[in-house]
Amino acid sequence: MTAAQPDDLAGAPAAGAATEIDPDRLILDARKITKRFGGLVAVRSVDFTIPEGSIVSLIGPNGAGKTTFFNVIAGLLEPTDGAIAFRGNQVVAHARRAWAEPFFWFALPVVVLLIAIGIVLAGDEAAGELLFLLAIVLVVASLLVAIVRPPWYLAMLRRAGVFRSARPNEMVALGIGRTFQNIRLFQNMTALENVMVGMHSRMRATPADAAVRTRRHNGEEAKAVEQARHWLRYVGLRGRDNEAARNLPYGDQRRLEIARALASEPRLLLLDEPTAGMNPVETRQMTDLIAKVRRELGVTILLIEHDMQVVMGVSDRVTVLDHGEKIAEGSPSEVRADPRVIEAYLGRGATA
Amino acid sequence: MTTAVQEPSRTARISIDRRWNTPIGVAIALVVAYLLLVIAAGPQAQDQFINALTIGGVYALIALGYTMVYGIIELINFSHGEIFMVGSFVCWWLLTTLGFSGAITDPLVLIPVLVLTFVVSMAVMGVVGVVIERLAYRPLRNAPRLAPLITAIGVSFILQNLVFVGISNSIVTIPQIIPNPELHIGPINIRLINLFVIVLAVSLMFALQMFISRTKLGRAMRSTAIDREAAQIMGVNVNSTIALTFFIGSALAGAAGVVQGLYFGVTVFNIGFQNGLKAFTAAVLGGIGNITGAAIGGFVIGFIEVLASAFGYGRWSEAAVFATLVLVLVFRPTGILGQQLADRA
Amino acid sequence: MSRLDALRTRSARPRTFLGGHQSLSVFLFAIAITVLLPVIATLPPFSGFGTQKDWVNGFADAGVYILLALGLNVVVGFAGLLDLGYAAFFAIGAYTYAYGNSGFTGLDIPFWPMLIVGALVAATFGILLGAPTLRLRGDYLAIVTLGFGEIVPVVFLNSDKYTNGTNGITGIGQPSIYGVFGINGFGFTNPWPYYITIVVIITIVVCLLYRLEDSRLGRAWVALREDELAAASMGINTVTTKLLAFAIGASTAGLAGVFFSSKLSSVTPDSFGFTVSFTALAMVVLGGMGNIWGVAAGAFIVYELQTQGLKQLNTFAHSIGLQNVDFTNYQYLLYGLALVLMMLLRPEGLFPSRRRRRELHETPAEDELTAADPTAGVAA
Repeated sequence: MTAAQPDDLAGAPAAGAATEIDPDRLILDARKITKRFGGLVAVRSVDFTIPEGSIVSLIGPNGAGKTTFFNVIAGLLEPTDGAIAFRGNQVVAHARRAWAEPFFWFALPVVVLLIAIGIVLAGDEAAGELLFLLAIVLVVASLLVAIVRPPWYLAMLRRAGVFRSARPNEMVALGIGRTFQNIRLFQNMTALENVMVGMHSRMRATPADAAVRTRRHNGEEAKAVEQARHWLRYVGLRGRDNEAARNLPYGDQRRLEIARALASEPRLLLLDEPTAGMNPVETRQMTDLIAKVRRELGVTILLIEHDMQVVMGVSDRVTVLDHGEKIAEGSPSEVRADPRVIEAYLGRGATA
Repeated sequence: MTTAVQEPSRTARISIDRRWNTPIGVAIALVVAYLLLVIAAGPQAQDQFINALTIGGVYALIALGYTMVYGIIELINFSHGEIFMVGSFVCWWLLTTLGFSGAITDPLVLIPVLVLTFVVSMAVMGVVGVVIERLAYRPLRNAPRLAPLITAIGVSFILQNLVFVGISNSIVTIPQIIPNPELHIGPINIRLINLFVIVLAVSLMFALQMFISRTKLGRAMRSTAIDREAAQIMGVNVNSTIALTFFIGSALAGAAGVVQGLYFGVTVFNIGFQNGLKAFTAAVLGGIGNITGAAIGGFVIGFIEVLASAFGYGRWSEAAVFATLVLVLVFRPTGILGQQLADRA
Repeated sequence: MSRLDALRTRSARPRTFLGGHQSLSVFLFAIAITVLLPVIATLPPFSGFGTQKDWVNGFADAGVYILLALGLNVVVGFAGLLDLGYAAFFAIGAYTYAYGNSGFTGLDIPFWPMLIVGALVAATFGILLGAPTLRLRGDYLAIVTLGFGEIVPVVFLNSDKYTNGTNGITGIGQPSIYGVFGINGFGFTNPWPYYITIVVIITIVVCLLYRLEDSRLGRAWVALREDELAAASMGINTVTTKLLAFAIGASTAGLAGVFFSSKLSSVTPDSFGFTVSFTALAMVVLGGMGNIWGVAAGAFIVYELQTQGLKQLNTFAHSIGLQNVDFTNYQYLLYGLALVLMMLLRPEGLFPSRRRRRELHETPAEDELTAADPTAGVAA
């Protein structure tokens, strides 16, 4: 495998064009994020911001809460407390009264049901029966609403203080893509299909479109194949389109994960230890790819990494977590010199 | 199976020492159930209460097998209900072979016969459970999740139809060997068989709880449930531990089968299906993977059934049980007690 | 983002030709089968077992099970969810038509619109049942559907006032197509109209399923089956995707139910027990989970073996002096054995889909990968 070649589909933008970072234009603004698992506090009141167009690294010893924090941002975990704004939209809020949501589903049907019982008790069976039917229909309707979650329903929840966090799929739709620490490809799908799954949230064809093969479906599918091939070439997987993901070598699987995440057209890409288990050559290629993605596509990147060379090489800013708390933040050189960081990594006394 | 989610699951709970919550909760629940029965059944409330405890004991014994197997290999063992059914047929076969046809009044005969019936049925069913695990489930332990589930359904049908074809395609009557005097213990009137069943069920559950929490093998089971690979590395023989789990679970179902035979006096080839479904509901209700939970769940299901009949909706008792299952899954999928034995997402 | 925009405008050849081609071949195949089956039934070994009319009648009944298996295949084969109460949706479809067109309610809505209504009602129930449980782990779904499958017949049995209890609803209307079969063309004496009808329904269903499989939704199903967490992180709404599988499966069962009650002219609660769900599951597993034509073929073979094969085996056994055996008793025992053995020895089924074979066996068949990819060679 050679290093990722500059892509041939479109002329690469001038290098460095996207690296002008305005520290005030934040793509992600997380405030006081806390995540508890029972009595264990995995992340404690972490403030975290990512400027648009930057590469930010999250480092820390094992068990520092990096992946937990990551999963909170990706919508996989609901924070116990705190709020996250992505591109100015409040996307994750602690579900303050999640238990209250079912009451919203059933409130109306129950009222109708009670009226029905009242009418039956008053002696009018026929009208009661009709109302019973209505109650059943309402139960059906309200359950459907709770499943589909139309915007007005979410707005209602929000107004009542029962706001729920965005789900992972909603985060993808908003523009957050991710990879996993231990590769989670769709092993039995081909590389191309994996990438096409990544495009899911950018496609609009409904099952009905697929059933009657409308122009929307056909056009979109054809475009998706084209685009998926492009992304595979972009990460350096030329000619492996029809290979099952699990037959790819390890390094290529990592690349495929990135291609799959890029296919969802993210504005923010979350990479969880992208160079884990790689040899130095592969690591350098991966570092180049990460830099290229930011440079050419203007995608902001949040990186969890153990390899300090990678971190120091590509990051604009580094945040250090230890025991779920943020202990340092700054440019790579600042962080490297921070005594608390050295202490966290090497143990107490190392700074002496 | 092991979905290798490195992040802790959403349902993870650190168990805090609230050792009195469960007994107090059980006591309150029993009082409430009794009051409901007084409303529904009036003078028969006490009989119904004991009846519910007895039926609940049977469900609890079956539910333990579901919960143990699920806890250790995350498989809903659909064939477990059929193990219970075959257990009741073992009881029938043994008692008719020994030539009994009615109550045995001499305790010197009754007690050995009872012991023999239970030991034989539990041993046979335990072995059957282990054989099923070895032949049908073990080869599929690393297969996609759907495969063992489908196999379990298949095994269930095999057992059911083996009995259907080989033994009887209709209801068989089991000799009622336990005499039926009513005992008066203080204000309580209880028939001997009810007392026997309740005491037996509770003591079996207690023994199981002790076994799992106090013995080395029990510890092996718990560690296998939490992390099979780690347990293996630490020297636990995972295969035999899983086999042991199947043995104990199936033996308990065998005991439940004998109780079914002794208490109801009848059995039929398809009895395992619905009882299995109810027992599974009990296991989910109590928090699947949780031994105490399964026991409590079994009694709750017993009370739901008896209450449904007492209020005059006997035909709907199954629907009531099923509605309970769905409601629990919607509002509290971890069950009453949450997961303690196994906690994997 | 200019680069992405540039890409977006670049569109490859539309795939209408491929899509049309596939459906066309399904149609041609269906026509061939429709003509061939009754002909085969008149040939020597089969003509001895019954008249051509009996056979055609049997084929129409087999069609009901083919539909059931096709629908269950969406849930089990595509989305990887185990639905053990599938007969409930069949029952709901059947009772829907019974309400819509029988003396019991006095309504007389024609068969054809009721097909759609039955499918929609069944789909609604599918969504209702799936909604609370699909958020949970897969095996809970199995047990809840099992319970649902148990309860629905009980509800039909117990609500005497609305369903006529054990006796069921009788006098259900037959379909009619004016000018083609005549008003009385459909009936007990003439199985041909039903035969043609079910073939048409199956053909349409198969075409739609093929199209769904090869679409955004089909990919989402596979992704979900492989890794739910990763699928969610790639933007797939896991709940609605599963619900769609559930609803589509249920609606197919609803279609089958409407046809079934119309052909039988009556519905009783006891025709929708767990054995129906189990039979459909056995058909799907034997045919090859996830493979549409394989499942249809599997269902047909299993049904014919069950109705004709066991009967002929009995006749044979009786003719050689074994008077006491009745092989029809062994039907479900055989299904159970078949399920277990298939899962252990050939989990991909008799007619496997290529992807399933890849999933269920460690060693992939390399040269098939290209052929398996529906998109290969389109935009190259």
